[in-house]
Amino acid sequence: MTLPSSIEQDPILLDGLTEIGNIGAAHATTALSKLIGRCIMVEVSEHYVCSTQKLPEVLGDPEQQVVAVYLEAYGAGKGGMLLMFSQDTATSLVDMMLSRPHAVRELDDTDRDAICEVGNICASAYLSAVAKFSGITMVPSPPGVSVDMLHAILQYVSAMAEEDSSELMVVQTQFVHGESSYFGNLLYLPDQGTIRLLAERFRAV
Amino acid sequence: MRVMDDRMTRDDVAAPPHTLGSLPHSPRRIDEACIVGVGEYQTLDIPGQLVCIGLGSCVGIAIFDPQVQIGGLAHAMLPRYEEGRDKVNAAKYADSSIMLMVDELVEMGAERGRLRAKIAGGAQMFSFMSSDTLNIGQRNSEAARATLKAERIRLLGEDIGGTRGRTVTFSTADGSYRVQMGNDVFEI
Repeated sequence: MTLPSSIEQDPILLDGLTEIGNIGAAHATTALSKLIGRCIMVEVSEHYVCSTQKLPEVLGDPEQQVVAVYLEAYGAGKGGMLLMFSQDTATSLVDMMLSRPHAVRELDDTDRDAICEVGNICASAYLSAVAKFSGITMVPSPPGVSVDMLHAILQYVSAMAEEDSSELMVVQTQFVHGESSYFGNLLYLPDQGTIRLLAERFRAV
Repeated sequence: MRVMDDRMTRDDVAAPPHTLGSLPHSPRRIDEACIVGVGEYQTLDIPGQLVCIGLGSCVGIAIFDPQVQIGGLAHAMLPRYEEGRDKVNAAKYADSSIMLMVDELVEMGAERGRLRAKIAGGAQMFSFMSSDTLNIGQRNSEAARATLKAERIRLLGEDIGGTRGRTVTFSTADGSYRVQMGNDVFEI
């Protein structure tokens, strides 16, 4: 089953998704900024439709190592939430959080736990903002963390989504910090039922 | 012609942007290797290489006839066709992709009785409680194994499970199956 074209061409829904991306991302960045004591900004928030099979290839070099935190939303609104950082960004985030000087290193167990918590806080802030905005309950699952190839991580996310649909609505947010152009990426992947529910809510507003 | 080796990144060997842009669908040709995309399979009846980049919970199933150098590689993302939602693209599933690929290999001139297989992948990328309680990686590799057994294709080697992603390269020339996990490279 693919996404109905009525959904892809529904201007109210698309505007609503933009709004969700903005509100969710704003809350997530505020939470993150508070956590690490630095100002994190939203660079771009966008949404697009992508087939589950192609998702692992469209976000950049498939073999680059990334640090990813994944969790799922439960409740009336279901979906996946993936937060991705480069290894260096992840370790520097942890160092900022623990107020210590940044050292270039491989992620150790402490770093993994810390980044898991960062993901948890960001994603929970995002989801609760979206839930409040739309009036649809969304409860985050416990987070999982993985350090691996971008392709392998996205493939897992695709396989999870595949049970629901062959196409995904991706709400993507990029974060920036200071001068660096790249900081992190947050993907919100509502399932088909949730998209339909959101469309109804937006129309009722 | 440039040959890909370990020191070169794929960027080094990538074709100019305009040619990549005109070939949006798999297989993308990266030098001599054919990239097998997620939920697809590729077969070759000449000596050559087939690659699955970044296998996470998916399994890379190589089936070949060593005598005639005919072989294929499947990149399956879900375990069973019967349990799946999508009935259009059967190459997505471990069991049906094996059957499709075997039929195609036999049509190309391979002998069914001589077919051998090697599999890798099926990692558990994230370990936590989620809707993935049954571990999709494990289910994928079990489905692949069971199907190979049912089809009476001998499994010569496997590297499955774990928590890390793999990039695999299968060569139809000699049936070698190279697995790369981070900095570790080995053959099965």
